[in-house]
Amino acid sequence: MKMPIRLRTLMLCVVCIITISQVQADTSLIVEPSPTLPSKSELAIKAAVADLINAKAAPLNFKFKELKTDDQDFVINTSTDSFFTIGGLDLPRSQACNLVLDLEFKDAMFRPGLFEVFWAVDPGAFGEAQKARFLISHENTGDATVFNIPLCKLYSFSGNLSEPHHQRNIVGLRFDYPMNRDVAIKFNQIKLLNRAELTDFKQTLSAEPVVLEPYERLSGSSFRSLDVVIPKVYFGIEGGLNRLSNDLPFLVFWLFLIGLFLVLIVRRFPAKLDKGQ
Amino acid sequence: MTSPTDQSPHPSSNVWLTQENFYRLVLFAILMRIVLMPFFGHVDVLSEARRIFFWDQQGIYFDDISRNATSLFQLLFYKVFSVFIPNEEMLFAHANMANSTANPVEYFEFVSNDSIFRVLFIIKLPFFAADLVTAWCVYRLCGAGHGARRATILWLFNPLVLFAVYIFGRFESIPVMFCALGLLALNRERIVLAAVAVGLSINSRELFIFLGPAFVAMMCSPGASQYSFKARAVACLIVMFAVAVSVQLISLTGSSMDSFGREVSSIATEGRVDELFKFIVGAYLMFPMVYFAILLYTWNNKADIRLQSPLVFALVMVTFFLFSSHTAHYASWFVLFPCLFYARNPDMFKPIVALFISWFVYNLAITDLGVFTTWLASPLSIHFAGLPNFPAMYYALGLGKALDLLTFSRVWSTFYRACLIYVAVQMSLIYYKDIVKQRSLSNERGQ
Repeated sequence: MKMPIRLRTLMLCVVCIITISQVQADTSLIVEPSPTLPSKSELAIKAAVADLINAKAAPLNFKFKELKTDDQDFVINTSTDSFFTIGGLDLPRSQACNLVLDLEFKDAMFRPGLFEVFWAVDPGAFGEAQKARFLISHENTGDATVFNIPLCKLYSFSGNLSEPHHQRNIVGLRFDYPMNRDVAIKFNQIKLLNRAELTDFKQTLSAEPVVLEPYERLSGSSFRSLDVVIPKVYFGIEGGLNRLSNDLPFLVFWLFLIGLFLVLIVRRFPAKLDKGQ
Repeated sequence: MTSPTDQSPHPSSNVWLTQENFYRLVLFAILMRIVLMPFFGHVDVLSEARRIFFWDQQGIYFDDISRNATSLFQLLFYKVFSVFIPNEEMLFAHANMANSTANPVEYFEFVSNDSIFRVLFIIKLPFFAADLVTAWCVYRLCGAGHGARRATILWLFNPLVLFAVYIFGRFESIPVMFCALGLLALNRERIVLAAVAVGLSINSRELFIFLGPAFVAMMCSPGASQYSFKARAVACLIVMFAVAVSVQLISLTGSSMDSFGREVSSIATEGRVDELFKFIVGAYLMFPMVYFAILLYTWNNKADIRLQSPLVFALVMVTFFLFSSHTAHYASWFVLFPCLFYARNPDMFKPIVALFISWFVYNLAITDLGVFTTWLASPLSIHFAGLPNFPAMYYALGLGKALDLLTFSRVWSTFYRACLIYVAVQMSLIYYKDIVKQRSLSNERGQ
């Protein structure tokens, strides 16, 4: 039976309206949709932040740049400036204390990778002054690994830490891929947890999360306060000395050398050496 | 440098700088270096390590134009000690060796490795060895007496070399070592050996090329007449060959590409050298002007080359630093000479300290990323890379309202150069005193 032309036109219009409304619903989370980006990347990240959306009950929005997704939902950078952003957050510093990433690398990295995380505070945008770097060791990229980035340690996160009354809420996060290598990552989970939530979350894990120390650049004005200078310098020295134990044979050798020279310095030299006076 | 005036002890330092305390201080200086070696370094440390690794892997010994001796010296150490470096491939392998200069991101990845402390320790071993050889040369050149102890201690604790070699992490001690060995050989009247050492220093670093013409002028001066023509000619040829090699090694051998696949022409066309060698001040090329004057003076000098050689080399270096813009670690090239003269006159201590202070403040004021900042402690912790530098703090503390940073840096640059001039004058005066004493001694013998 052949349908009348008017009925066919009407049905086509209905189908078009439904399709367009679906597309609009899908793209409602995207602030600046990238025309070259397959929607699979968005879906992959959205799935990873499902808990984040539910927990914070916020309408999140996303932006992707120079990223693509393969058949297995690994998100791959396609340039030296690849990143995605999560907007629509509204969290105080204490609530956004720990950025937890459950990541799976398609291939283990040959070398450590330098990643960056930016944050935007109400009502601003992302900027170079509001970012931290963290290194993911190549040794942690073999299997799916849970990482914890303690953003609360940063002095410039949500405003200068030494000025507690001038803190602002975190409204967005940006995750930058390493600029000098291609990485394929599956984002199993992305969470922002406070201290209590982190403790609870750890109970669900079989192993402790790998802590990634965030490194930040401080402005001169923030460094005027001794409340910043002393702990920041102390933290750097302490972190460095702790790293010494990562290479135990060298540490032993180095300490032995130091001890040897200390002994030589304090020993009594034979009197004949002093003839040159 | 050995002369009767060497043994003029300074009343105060003579009391405490006994031979025993001298040994203690030498050991303490070595200890200080061992403590510093694993924790500091500039991005260039990685760049250089990449090249050494590449040459080691490819079995190449002579490649880097104008720095062959430095590269070879490092390579020999690397071949011995790289066995203690785990996973060299991961640390140093670089896909594009035509552009081997590392960027900060690569450097942060490099320093984040667990074995970074041992790697830096091993990388700096050749610099450490060259530094200690230089200290030994200073001691021998200054006569191994009390003045020599004073000069050696000044060398071992001078902040310029400590910064350049152990904090910035560069190979500056290697050309300085060859230069010191050259002076020692001249002092021992071994001019051919001296020519080899000076030639090696010329092939270690770009600036040392200026020692070449100065050496030849010395050999052609009346002061060198005690040596046979044949010996002087051989010495001159060795140094001239070293200069030619330093300027254009690859093209001399008929090749126009180095092992990195880069086209090689001459050091004058290299960007970094181009900047360094801009001597234009107004209508005059200041450094060449004074340099030619030094060459003329040397050519015509009747004094024994054992006496004149330290002064000639010192004046060449000091003049270069007076009239060129240079980064902080380059200044370590000239410290050897004030140390040598300090052995003869303890009164040089104050101007030398003033020189160190002015060098420090001036470089704080003009620093850029990673050159003279806590950034250099990135191997210890990358947190240090994020701390603000002096210019940022200068304005944050409101000091810019009293005196803008540009004027501040110019004031300290002027102090720095004033100290250099004063030290150069002091060295010249000490030299002339020695000349007068030597002549009076020879007159007495003649009578």
